[in-house]
Amino acid sequence: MLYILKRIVNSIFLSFGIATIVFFLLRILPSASFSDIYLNPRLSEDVLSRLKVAYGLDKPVLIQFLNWLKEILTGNLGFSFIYRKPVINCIGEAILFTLTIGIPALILSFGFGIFIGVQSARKRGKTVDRILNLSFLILYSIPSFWLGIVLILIFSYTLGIFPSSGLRSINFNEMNFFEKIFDMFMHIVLPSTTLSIAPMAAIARFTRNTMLNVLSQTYIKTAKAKGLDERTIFYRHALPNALIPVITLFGLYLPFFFAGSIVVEEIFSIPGIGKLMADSIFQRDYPLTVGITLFVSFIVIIGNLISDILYSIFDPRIRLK
Amino acid sequence: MKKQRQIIFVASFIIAYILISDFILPFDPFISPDKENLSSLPPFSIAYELNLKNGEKIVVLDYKFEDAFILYQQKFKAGRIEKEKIEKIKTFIFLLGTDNLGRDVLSRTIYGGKISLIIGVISALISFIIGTAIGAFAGYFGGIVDKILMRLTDVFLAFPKLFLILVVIAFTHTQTILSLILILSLLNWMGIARLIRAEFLKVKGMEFITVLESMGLPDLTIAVKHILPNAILPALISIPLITGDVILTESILSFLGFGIQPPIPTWGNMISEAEKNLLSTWWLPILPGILISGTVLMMNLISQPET
Amino acid sequence: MRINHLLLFFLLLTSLFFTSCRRAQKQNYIVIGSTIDIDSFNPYLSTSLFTQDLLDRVYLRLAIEQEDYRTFKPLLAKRWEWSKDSTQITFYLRNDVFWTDGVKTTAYDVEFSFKCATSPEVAWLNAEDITRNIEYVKALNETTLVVKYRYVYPYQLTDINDVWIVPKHIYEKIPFSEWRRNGYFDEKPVTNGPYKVARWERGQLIELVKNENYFDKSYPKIERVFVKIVPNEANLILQFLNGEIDVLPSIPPAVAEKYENSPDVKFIRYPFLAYEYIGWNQRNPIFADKKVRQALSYGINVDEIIKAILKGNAVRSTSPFPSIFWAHNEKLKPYPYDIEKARKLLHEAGWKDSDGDGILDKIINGKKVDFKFTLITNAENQTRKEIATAVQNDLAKLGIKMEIQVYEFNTFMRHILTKNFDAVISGWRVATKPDLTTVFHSEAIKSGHNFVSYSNPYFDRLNDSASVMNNLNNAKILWDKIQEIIYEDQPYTFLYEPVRISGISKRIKPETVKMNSISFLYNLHEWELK
Repeated sequence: MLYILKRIVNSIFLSFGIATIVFFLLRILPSASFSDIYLNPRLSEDVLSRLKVAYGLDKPVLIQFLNWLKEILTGNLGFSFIYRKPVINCIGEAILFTLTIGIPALILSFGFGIFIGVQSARKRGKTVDRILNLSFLILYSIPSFWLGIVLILIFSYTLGIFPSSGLRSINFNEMNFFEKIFDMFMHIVLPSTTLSIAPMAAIARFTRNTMLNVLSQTYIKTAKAKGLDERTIFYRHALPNALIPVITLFGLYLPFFFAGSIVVEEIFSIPGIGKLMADSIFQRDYPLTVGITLFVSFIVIIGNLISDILYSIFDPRIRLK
Repeated sequence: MKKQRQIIFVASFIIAYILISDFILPFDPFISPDKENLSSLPPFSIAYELNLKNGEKIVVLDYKFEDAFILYQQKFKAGRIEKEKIEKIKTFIFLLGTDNLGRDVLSRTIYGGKISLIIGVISALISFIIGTAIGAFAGYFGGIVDKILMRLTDVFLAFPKLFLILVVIAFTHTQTILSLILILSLLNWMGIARLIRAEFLKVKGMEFITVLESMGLPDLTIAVKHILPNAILPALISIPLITGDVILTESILSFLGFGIQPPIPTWGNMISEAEKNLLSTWWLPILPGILISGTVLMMNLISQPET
Repeated sequence: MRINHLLLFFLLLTSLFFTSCRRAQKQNYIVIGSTIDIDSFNPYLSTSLFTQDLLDRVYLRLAIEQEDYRTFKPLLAKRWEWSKDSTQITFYLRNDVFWTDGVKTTAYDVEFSFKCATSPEVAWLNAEDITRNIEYVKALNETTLVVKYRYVYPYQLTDINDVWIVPKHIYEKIPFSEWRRNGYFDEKPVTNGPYKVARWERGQLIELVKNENYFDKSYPKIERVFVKIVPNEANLILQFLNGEIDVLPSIPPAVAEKYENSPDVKFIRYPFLAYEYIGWNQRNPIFADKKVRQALSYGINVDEIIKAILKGNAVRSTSPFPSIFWAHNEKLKPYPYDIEKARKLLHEAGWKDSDGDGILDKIINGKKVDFKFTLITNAENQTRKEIATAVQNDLAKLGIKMEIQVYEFNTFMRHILTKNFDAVISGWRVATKPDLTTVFHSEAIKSGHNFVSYSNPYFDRLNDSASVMNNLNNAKILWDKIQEIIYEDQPYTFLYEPVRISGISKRIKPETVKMNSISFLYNLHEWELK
């Protein structure tokens, strides 16, 4: 328990360190002030410097850093230029959207990934295995934006089954409860599928390999020699052991689903963390960029921690030290 | 080993491709013979170039003979010209059509492949070198050096990669091939470093190293001459994997406006550009799309462990 | 079987969905599509054109700028009177305009709005002209407003009409210095236009509904307007073609060309007060010579660019005033594509291929310099990238080696503002009053947008007198002369004036729709559905 606490404190410091690096990186690197300066011939230097004062960018870097520290300690994580509210609020709003597509994608990729991995391990070397293996690799090799756009082209534009953007219909407020649930469901299908394909492929391959690994171990061979039924060996003895390393993947993939995907959120217009990230970079909203860095690296580190803990729970041989 | 033969085969194929691709281009990938008339032609289009005796060239989409004249058809106008003025007629075949600027898509795909592969391979090699160096240092010296270097690796691993690339490109104001290669390599070495370190620890524990150390050989000699060759082999396999990954990442960067910029084609920016012209010139992404996925697939297959 | 039950359940759900779909047939609403969200409902904090287009539907101005960009029709102001010496205008406001919270819109709101517009703490982007030209704005009573100018100049109405009128009783609650750090204005916008804001889901949807208390009861005709935000352009266009979106502000020429005869959508083309150009950085010794710049203008085939890349949707540009603008000099003809003339001019300027490497060279300051440079542009603009390639090909024929470097927008801006470039493809949106000071005046090299460092004292002198001249007819004579100077000097190679293509669904009666350079939603309240 103490160990876990120590790790958590450690991870907070680590992500804070990362954010500090990014903070200084953004200040040291030469960069244009704001994207506000759209080629507007009426905009003068005078207005620019006023803007800088309004955003507190006229002060020395060190003072800015101290201000930022103060913001962090008050839990605001800084103040976003473009949204005009504390960074933590921006993240809080965005994370809901990211989770709405992230959790189904997580379930989808682990569910299907493990299922397919197990099946192809059972049918190892047969045509089914080869086809599954290859088709997943192919899906994995397609750039995600292209996959998304093709799904939209097929399922929204041509067939008209699934809506292609946002998470709710325009007339959502006038719907009854069941319609609302169904409306959300239809909106989630395409982005979640797009998001889940790549990890699904990786999980399927990983499951298959660990499965084969386990199947080749002596205790399975012993079980076979005892004359146990093939099915029983497979599901009772091999599967639970093979799933241990697969479950640790959960922690490692956590950021993939919960830290938002810039590409998927951009294509399906979901105002989640990924979109927020992209906006903060494109519009040079320093506090937001740094805040998101802090948040995302924290999720990554927590994910790693979870995977370690899970591993220790499922595999008593490994003790946390 | 079968795997090694595969890798060598693929590597030599890539090198051969990079070397000969310039010589098998049917058209100039940068300059169209005629932007106006050849703009956005679908696949299997044919056009003709009438070379006049006075050196002029007219690009036409169709022509026919009539008495002493040649009647020709261009995109916006038709015309005719006396037969005897013409020296010869060249036929252009655009197997994969042309883009908005009238450039042959096939040639651009071939040329773009060269750039994509160069970026992928060089970046993977640099990552490999960085990863090996860091992994070797950490593994050989252990102790505090190991701790610091591994913590550094953790920090890099903890960063969301795409996000970091965007931040670095956005705030350094450079967007050239070289800077892109460097940034991508700086973000891909962590896996290799861990692998090499683990191998180092394994090899270091072996008997022959202890023997060498007792013979009083300097650290560097032992590390480079005796441990490295043993440790490096298992890590080699990640080079194709990184190559594929870099090629994919470049296409996503192009999609976000941060990749290699035109007029230099890469498979990545060709398909991301095609995404923007999806409804007008649907033929643009077909071959680059197949090739990019095929390459990544191949890279994944050869780095898959034998089962 | 369990699985069958599940299947049945799904079938049930699906049928439910399709029936609900049918019920949700399009009624009295339209959906506008956009790749970007608005940035604020506080007009003084917003920057994007799209935000301004939309805010103009919910906030009333004093008057409506007409499509000739010179005259105004009454809106919030019933009428106005000029003082004898023309330094003062008295506006008489309507008595029947109310904010959506029931408070009356009065002259005091306007007086307060002027304070907002000119406050240094608010740092409104368009504040400069107004601060410089208007001395004060004073409300005499609820309906009478006096605007006092520092001097007489032709665009007095334009300037005061630029001031957004905001509700004093709401906006004064937050001190100016806090404005940029406060989300208060976006929570429940209080407005007074034909539409009011029903909801704003950031990054997703804006819903505008009919303002029941709008003073003109016959408008708006369409009761609900949704703005759907879809950042990905391909997805946006697919939804437009699909009928999910009814109005799109801008459509790529190639798409418009392909779907021209579609039964469901209609494309509206209209000139846009803007022009695209290639700016030559005259700090670079290569471009310091006027003859070289002229040669480059002769050597670039702009007509071909318009035909091939823009599919004909553009007009050639000849001067910094677009051809639909009253100050434009019609006598100027675009530089024709003339490769021989370009070669001759380059030769006269001393550029020859002396070493036979196919690239022109010249001795500058005792050093042999090749005619080599880099053209930059921004990555978001597909058209500019294609133009860059076309220009590269054209100049290669003259023996000029041009590299292309494309940057992401902010990086691009950085290079421009620090004058760290050789040549740039960019564009200006033109203000509805003629003003070249910030772009070409030599004063603007240091602080302004004369980043090509163009300097011509004669131009400076004429420009200074033309911009304050009261009689527009006399001013026009000067402006014509000024444009001739620019035409001769070619600090830019003027490429084209874009024709904007907007799309509307055929559900909307096209004859009720007016779109122009002021806004693509110019008369949204008058649009009608079939």
